Amino acid sequence: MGSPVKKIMLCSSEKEIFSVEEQVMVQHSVIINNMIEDGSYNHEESKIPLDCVDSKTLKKVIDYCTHHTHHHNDNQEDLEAWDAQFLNVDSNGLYDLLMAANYLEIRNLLDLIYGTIKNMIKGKKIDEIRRIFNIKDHGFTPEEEEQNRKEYPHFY
Amino acid sequence: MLFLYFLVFLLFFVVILLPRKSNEILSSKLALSRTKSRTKEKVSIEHLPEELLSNILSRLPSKELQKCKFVCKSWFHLIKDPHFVTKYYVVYNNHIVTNHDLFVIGRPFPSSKKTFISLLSCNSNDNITNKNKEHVPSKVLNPPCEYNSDHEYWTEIMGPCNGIYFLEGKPNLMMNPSLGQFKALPESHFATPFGGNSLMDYTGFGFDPKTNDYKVVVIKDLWIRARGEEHLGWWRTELYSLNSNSWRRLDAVLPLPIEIWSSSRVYTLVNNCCHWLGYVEDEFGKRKDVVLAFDMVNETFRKIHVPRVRDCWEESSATLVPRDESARIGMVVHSVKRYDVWVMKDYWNQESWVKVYSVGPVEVISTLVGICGRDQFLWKNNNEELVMYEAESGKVKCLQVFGKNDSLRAARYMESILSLHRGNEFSGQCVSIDWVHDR
Repeated sequence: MGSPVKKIMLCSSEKEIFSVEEQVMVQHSVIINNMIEDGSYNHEESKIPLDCVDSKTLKKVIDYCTHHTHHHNDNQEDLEAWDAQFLNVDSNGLYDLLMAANYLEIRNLLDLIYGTIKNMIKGKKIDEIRRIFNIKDHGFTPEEEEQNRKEYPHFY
Repeated sequence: MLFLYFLVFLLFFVVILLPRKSNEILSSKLALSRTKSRTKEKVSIEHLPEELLSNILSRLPSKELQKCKFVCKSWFHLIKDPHFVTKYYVVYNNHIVTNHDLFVIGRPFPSSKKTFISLLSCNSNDNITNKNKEHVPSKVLNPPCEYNSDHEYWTEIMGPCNGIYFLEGKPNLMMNPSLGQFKALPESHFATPFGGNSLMDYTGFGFDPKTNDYKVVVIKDLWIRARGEEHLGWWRTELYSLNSNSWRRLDAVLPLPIEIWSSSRVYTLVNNCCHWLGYVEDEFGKRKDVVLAFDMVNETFRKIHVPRVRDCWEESSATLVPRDESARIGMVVHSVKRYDVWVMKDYWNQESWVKVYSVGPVEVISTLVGICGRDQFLWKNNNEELVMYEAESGKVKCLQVFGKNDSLRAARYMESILSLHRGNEFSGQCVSIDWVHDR
């Protein structure tokens, strides 16, 4: 009944090992696709160390890739609803995902996160944006800040 | 004494080297928990790598970026960075917006009415298939009255050039409509020698990437009454630079003989060169189309040969157009109810002109007034209305620009955060105007 599903091992920063269908990661991650293609991954021994991706984030990334591999024929609305639910995380979780998607070069996940963060900025006042993104130190001197507030009160 | 030295050496060994060794062992043991603690550090949008931040901000309309500049200092520096300004223009207009909005200027009849500058937004009724796209008037810009008298001007839209548009008139105007920035150019102070008159000014606008400057070149067709009915004619060229905010005379030599048509209608900036359509006459007085190019970087003129694209000059007209994302120049030759599209395949080889396709019969066309996307031509029809004709689908759409208009022009609207402000005190005459909602 055909060959068994090929798996690869991913290792999080906590050294936790995740076993994933090779096809799932190859389809989504440019980096992993390259590793498999150029033969630098050995199915018998290798595991791919992802030192800057923690287990929680890696699990989410794998969830994303798996869902989009197996459900790519779903209608657009269902996929979008799934994506929205998937990205319903706090801003720290979002940054972790962004960094991981960037590291693994998962383009559609990157686009999704960029769009989400963009929507968190669009139409918001500056004070609101600073609160949402937890920007404590904006870096302007008190004089500059006062000047900006005076000149562009509608932005704040 | 020797013993003392030994003791000092031993002490040195113990203090300096030993802890290092034990540190190594320790650090390898700690490696796991340390990486763990690093990832657990609170990441914030302020500390995102610049490339990722710029990818996020490139998705926002220019208006939003004006606000985002003041969120924090790192955003401020990024948004002001010329590399980001360039990247934003490309990414936002080509990858983020899928609908092309139109920038329209027109001077309504009667000509005492003000010229209007309006934006036609492309609304799609069906977001997924992008079908039923429709351009609707959404916003208008009202430049200050002193820019907008009832004189004959603003008959062309030159641009977009990195989001900057140039409108020829009195005064000449550079504008960035996304920032609502207007800049009136100073008048050229060069007197015409011998009391001659400039019969016609032929204007070009473009960008010089070498000096990062926006330039306007004007060819003046000068005439002087010499003796009785005898006239002497000659050319003179002047150039305005935004960086210096001043005019200077050009020594560039025009490749004579050449006559230039008064109106180019469609902005054709290709390979940092602006272009005019002109003609030369052979020894039998028969006219032949040629293109005059001005290189914004080298500040030189060049004549480009054009094959016989039309036989009958009385019944057909030709307009220069940019082709293939402004990599090549092309020409639309239109006669009654039909038009041909030509392109010069290799910009540096004037023998490489080919006819790409012919379209016809088309009912609507009268004057080509702009180009939007690939093969989306904007025409003024016989009722003075603005219509879009898509060559591929053969679709004709009447754009909702109301009223009869003289000198109606349209171009693609491009978002840009490029400021017309320059760092010198003389160019401070930028005026900011906000778009207001139409109707």
